[in-house]
Amino acid sequence: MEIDLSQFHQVFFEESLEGLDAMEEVLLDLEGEADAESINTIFRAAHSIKGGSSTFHFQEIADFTHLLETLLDEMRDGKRQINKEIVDLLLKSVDEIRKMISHIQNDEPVGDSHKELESFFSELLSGESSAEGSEKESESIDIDESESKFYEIDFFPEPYILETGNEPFRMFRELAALGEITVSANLEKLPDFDSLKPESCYLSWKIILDTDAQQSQIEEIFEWVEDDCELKINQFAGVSLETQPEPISTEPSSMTQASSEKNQAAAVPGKSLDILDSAVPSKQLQLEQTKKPESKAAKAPSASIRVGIDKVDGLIDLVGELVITQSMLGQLGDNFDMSKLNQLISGLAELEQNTRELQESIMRIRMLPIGFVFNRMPRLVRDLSSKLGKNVRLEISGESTELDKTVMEQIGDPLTHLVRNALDHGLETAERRIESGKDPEGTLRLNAFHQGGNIVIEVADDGGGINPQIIYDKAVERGLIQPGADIPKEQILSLIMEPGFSTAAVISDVSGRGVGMDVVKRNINNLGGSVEIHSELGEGTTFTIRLPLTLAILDGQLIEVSGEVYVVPLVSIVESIPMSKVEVSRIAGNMKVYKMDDGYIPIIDLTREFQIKGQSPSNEEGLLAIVEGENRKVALEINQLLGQQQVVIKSLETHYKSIQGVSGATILGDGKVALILDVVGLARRASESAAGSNSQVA
Amino acid sequence: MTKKATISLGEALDIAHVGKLKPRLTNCLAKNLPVQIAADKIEKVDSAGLQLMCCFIREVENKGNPVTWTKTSDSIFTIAELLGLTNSLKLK
Repeated sequence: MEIDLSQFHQVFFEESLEGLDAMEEVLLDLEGEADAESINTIFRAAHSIKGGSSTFHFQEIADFTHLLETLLDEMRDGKRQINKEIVDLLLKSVDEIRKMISHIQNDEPVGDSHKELESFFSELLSGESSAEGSEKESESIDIDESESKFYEIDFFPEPYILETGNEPFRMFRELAALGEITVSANLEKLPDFDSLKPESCYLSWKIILDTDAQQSQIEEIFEWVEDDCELKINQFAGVSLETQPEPISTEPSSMTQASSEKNQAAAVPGKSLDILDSAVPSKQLQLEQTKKPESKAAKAPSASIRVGIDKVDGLIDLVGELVITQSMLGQLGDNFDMSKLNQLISGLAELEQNTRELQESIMRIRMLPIGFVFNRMPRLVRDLSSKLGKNVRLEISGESTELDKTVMEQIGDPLTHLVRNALDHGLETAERRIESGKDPEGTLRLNAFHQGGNIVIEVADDGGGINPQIIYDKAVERGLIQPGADIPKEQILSLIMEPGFSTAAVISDVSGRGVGMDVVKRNINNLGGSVEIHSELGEGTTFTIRLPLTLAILDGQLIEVSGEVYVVPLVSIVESIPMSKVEVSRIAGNMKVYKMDDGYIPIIDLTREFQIKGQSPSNEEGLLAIVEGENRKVALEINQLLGQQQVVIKSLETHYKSIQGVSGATILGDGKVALILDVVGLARRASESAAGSNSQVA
Repeated sequence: MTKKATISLGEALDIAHVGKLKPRLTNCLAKNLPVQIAADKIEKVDSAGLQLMCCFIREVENKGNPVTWTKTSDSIFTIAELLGLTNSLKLK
């Protein structure tokens, strides 16, 4: 059975990217002061990436990280000082490795962008190593670096080594790539045939290598098995192979890189894995190689997720309980009579409980800490603040708050944009801050926490804040609102996220934001979330993002409108009031509004809005369901509230087409399809019409 | 004509197949005959496979029977050479 290494590529990519994140995090903390553990952390990450890339024959990454590792090794040994330039260089390396991984993931050529940094590293290292070399020379035996050297390698693998997939001939093949090898196998420990366990390794080897390579290169070949073998490497110069002692009951075989065509193919590193692993005849090689792109396309790596073992154990426990409940119900059903009704009811309640818990646990599997997104911010803040010449302190809290993987993947870019804007437009320069009597160092705060069924993410700065008057004037000038319209401050501020609301110079002058803010808002809305802005002039601005924890399941309130059932997200429901107890006013455009404590809220007649056949709910029997989205409230005219239940969201767009005011659909317990209302969309539309009507009235 | 026991190694002589191959080799040993090994189809070879064959060949020879290879594939020869086992396997 040949192992297809490509199945492990995705894991390698993920681990490497995690390693790079860890490197970056430590590097950002490192500036100025370095402790041994920090350097060790960076070193370990680089070492793992090098090892992995070498195993999978991603040679460019392996070569690049090798240089990086050498540099880090010197830092670890105290031979090289850590300063800002070195940290910059290492950060750039992290970027380059990320880029290379991304190219490989996309089946693209790695390109040359890393070459410049690579040659810089080489120069840096050769400059230093020549000095070190002279020191070493004085204290060790004279060995001319340029001259060919002989190494005697004794390799005694543990009996289990073959079962771990570590194959000696691959290591020897890599040795053969370094020079001429003579391999002697020792069969002394081979038992008689009956006692032989075929998967155990009884062989050991002595290898003589004639090469100009360094000992470290040989050690590297064996680094993956260093705990699974006894390895002795002795170097000696100027000794011919003939003088080497012949081991007892061993057989030597000499092999060079160019000894034969077939051997050469097997010995050259960097050939395709198919060639290296199976060493099949050339005809079949060609076949395999031509087949490869097709099979690669078919096996496009699917995204994966790492799950803590505690979560998996929890699931197994729950499944166990579910099985017990199911068998209990099964027994009950075998000879059921009405006397067992109570047992049946309690059994069904247990089943419901099990199902819900199972569902919650499975949902938790997709949950990842938001730290994955927050962790990219220190680098962004560092680079951008130094580019903009601003002193910025980044404070991160709530990074362990969990949210759905899909939501997290999509929130990364909007969040980056908000941070970028806060640095660019929000926070002032040190001089300006001193003038305003503030600490010259600005603060950018990222926070995340759970609230109800949502995750709340805050991006707050203590910069100059946004002047609502200027936004208002700008909005009037752009025709976004009518002159004199009475709009609450929060709504005025939210105008900076409207499409076409270019901030340009005017907004920049007042520490405003805006370029691309409409995209931020749209992305967050697409995730079923909302953004709020709070800003105090001279004190700072806070963007509050609310997102659903998951996109797959929703806690819904079923409502009936003229005989049709709809689902309203439970989190958006504020209250419900009988229409008979409500005083409804009409404003221009025949829009109905209802006065609540904090102002008028528009009423939507869903029967008319969705063109449902039948009469709108009457004032005597109908209800007003007050719902809230994006900080805007709206009242829905409904006939009655039905039950509450969790619904699985099905995309309407995928199965049918996008409909305004509807965010998706679901299948109810009775098999009927119910539409899920897009509260944010409804509220926005109603609020806009109300604003228009208001301004017209005014 | 001398009677011979023939064993065909198929396409794979690796750790995934040695468990199944060993009983076949044991049966072959029980015949106490000169052995002929057919290895022309082998594509996958590894240390576990070659180690098993070394042990088998040694056992056949200890019983005074010769071992011959009818044909060998390139891969078995390459890996045997890398592992320094061509002599023990009587591949030379």
